[in-house]
Amino acid sequence: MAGDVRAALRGAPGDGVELRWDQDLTRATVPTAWRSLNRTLRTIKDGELHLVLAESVQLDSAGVGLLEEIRNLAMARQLHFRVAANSPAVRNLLSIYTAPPDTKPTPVRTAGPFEQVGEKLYAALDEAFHFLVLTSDTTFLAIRGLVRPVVPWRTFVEQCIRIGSQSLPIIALISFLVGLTTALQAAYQLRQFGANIYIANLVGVAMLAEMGPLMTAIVMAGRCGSSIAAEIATMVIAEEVDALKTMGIPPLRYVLLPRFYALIFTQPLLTVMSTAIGILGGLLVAVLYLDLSVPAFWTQLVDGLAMRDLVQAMLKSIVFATIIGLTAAHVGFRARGGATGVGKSTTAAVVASIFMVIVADAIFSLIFYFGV
Amino acid sequence: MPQTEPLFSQLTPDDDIVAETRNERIGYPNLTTLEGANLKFKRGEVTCIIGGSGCGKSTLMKALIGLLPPLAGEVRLLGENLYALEEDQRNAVLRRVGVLFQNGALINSLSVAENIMLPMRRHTQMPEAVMLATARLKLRQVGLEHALHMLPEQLSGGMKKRAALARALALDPEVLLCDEPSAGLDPLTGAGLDRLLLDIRRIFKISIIVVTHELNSIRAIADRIVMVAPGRLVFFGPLAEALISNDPDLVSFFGRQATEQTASNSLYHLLTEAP
Ligand SMILES: Nc1ncnc2c1ncn2[C@@H]1O[C@H](COP(=O)(O)OP(=O)(O)OP(=O)(O)O)[C@@H](O)[C@H]1O
Ligand SMILES: [Mg+2]
Repeated sequence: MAGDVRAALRGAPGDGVELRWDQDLTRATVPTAWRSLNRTLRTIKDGELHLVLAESVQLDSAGVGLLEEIRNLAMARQLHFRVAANSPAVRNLLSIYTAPPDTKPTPVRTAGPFEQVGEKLYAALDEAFHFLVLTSDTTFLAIRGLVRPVVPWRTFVEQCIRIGSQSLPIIALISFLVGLTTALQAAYQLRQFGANIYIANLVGVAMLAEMGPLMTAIVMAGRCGSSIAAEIATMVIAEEVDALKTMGIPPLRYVLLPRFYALIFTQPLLTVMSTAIGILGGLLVAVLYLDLSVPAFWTQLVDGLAMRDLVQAMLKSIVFATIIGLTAAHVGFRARGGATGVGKSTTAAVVASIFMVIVADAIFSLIFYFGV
Repeated sequence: MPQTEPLFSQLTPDDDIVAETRNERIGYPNLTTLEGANLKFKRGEVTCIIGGSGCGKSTLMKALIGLLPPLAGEVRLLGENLYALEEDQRNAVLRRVGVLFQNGALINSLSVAENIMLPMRRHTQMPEAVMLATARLKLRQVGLEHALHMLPEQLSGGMKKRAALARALALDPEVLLCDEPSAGLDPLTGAGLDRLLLDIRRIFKISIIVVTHELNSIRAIADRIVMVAPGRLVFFGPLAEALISNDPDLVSFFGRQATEQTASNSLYHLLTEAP
């Protein structure tokens, strides 16, 4: 039991309570002291709580924090809280802490519903505008760079090798599995009609026109989009981008362009490889499950595929690469707020670019189905 | 004169040594920054570590607080060799130590208040409200009360430093190590921090080890000076001795002489002078 509440204080304005305190007020004892002081404070209706600290009381900064918080609570209830300390050690300690400012904290103004909607709209427009500017800048730089090369050949090759070797194994594995499962799903149906041989057309078209570009894009978004976003975001947060700007080096050209070229160059190659491996998976099912021969499959495949499909695949892969690169750069350049900002923008880049790739894919399919 | 006998000349028993290095070799596998200095940091003293940029001051601090095992010899903090202790015992020692890192090292995802409450949460059972009040108290000491609920990213460089100092002080440490506390601060705020360090030292009788380049600050707070140069110790002793020493490094550091020799070292001289 810490402290004993004594009778009303003489001569104080209104009623008051004097509390003699002989326990330490340190980190270890603060929890119990807090409970007991709080209880005492609650019993006081008005007037003053006068805490008299005994000579032997030890105080540390947690104890000072406690005293200040009790004072805050008392003030909130229009009570006075006073501490009497006789020991020089306690007085010394209290003296090195400044008193809290008397000013009331200015209330935080919250925006009304209209303001909030407006703010959101404005932010969205701002974002769209930024993306537009980035797209046009990058396109301009990328095309001009073809005429007047700004990216050193070596850097470009290095980036290509990095992107390619990073993504190759995972794309190969995924494409093989996708080809295999597509073929398996179809095989059962085709066998019922005795149309086994059409498995070649089915897997071929599905992989070339749809799955190859899409699977490659999704892996590239995860591997390269995220790393581009993280790299750019890190540079933004460390003020490296600002430093480049002050040195007169456009950050887009220095940071984005090499990766952008590499992405656009490698992604079609990876897409072709993905398609080929997917078809290989289909071939495996055709041979093992539908008893087709390899030459028969091959002849049917070559007959079934049109130039149109290849054009579609290449177009898609280039557009997807552009989307991934631009989205990653956009998110990266807008990164804010320390290391957590890098993490956030990396995630945002992957999610946004996969979403945009799938939307673009749908648009492509519509165009090629109805249009061309 | 006998009245102003400085602290350092008092004979202190060994248990008054809060940190020491014994036949140490400190550095990284391919770079030794300090060797055989046998430093001793005493209770209640302020020791300033000085030296040129990149000569191993932060490295020495890391070695002292158990983050960088010495390549040879021994480093002791509060009487313990941190590198030989179990996790629990290590934490028990480190709990009595406050560290201000050179770049502040605030946790970016937590508000300033949460940053300061972090050590309290880990090591005490204080009620939430009291922890917050204590955090506010500490922030007010460094003049940052208004930043209580801000995120570190919203602070300027000097504000981060001060917030980090508040965090280092959260548990009233017995030893406080500060890596350039006043770098990037205006002279007024810097002087305020010096006063704060002296106050804390006076009230809590703690030892303070400060890496600093601020001459005024060194003159105001240092009892003892450690000066390092790449790979070696230049000076270890009381401030008064450092101020009158004839060691060229110390002389030029304390700026008692216009550094004429740098001019004669210049590339201009090298290129124009006849051999
Ligand atoms: N992790 C590391 N691995 C290898 N060498 C390092 C590492 N960190 C620092 N160094 C080297 O150790 C030396 C001392 O670095 P340190 O950070 O201790 O310098 P400092 O004296 O604190 O300089 P400043 O005043 O600029 O902060 C430097 O030469 C640096 O290159
Ligand atoms: Mg340093």
